[in-house]
Amino acid sequence: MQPLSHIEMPAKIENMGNLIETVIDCARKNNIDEKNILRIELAIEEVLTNVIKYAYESEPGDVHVTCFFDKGNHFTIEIEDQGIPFDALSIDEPDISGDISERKIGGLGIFLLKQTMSDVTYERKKESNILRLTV
Amino acid sequence: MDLVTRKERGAVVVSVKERINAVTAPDFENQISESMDAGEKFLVLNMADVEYISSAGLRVILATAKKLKAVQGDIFLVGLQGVVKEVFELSGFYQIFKVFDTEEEALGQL
Repeated sequence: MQPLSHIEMPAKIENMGNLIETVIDCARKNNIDEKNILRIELAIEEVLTNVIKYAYESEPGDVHVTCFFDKGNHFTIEIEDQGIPFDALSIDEPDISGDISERKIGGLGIFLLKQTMSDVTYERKKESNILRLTV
Repeated sequence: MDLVTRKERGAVVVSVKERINAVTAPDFENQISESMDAGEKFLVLNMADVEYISSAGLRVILATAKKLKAVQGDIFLVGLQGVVKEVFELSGFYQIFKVFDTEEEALGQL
């Protein structure tokens, strides 16, 4: 797998824009259509929000974002952190059936990324959490 | 966050001109709260110029809707399109919110 782009930055909210922009630029250069680019932006924002909020409890740490084409030639984004082990895909899906008074606030981020990407996988490898999003 | 706010027929009409993401959502929430602070109960949120919303934005809209429902108010959404509409549909919000094509139709509910 030959990376198309790679960026690593401290996992902080002020770096969210740069991290997302790197992926969007890469997707655009590789002819991903605008609708899928918005879906990619959504998916990585939701992952990065989680990493920024939860991965590093005491010491600050970095997040790595890499784009590549997988074996099936699908545009794929890999988001890696060295924070506490956390499989975002294992959390319960929100109940989306209730009306406004019944709906709980929050819990939609990971649900949305699962819905908008064709495949999402999690791997804990050595000290890293790795989420792979396939468009 | 660039919002254009006016009052019409007893409702606060807010046009959102920017993407609503994890970075802009706190300001979006503050500005919406300020617009509704004077005891306003009805909010028309025009999203026609919004091409992007994430769960951070949905959170603000749901929290606002809950507050307005609690005072027998309501929220009307206008002009959802593209991926924004898709996000509302996927999250189940499209089914529980009152959604209109135009501000005129939304204001007609009052």
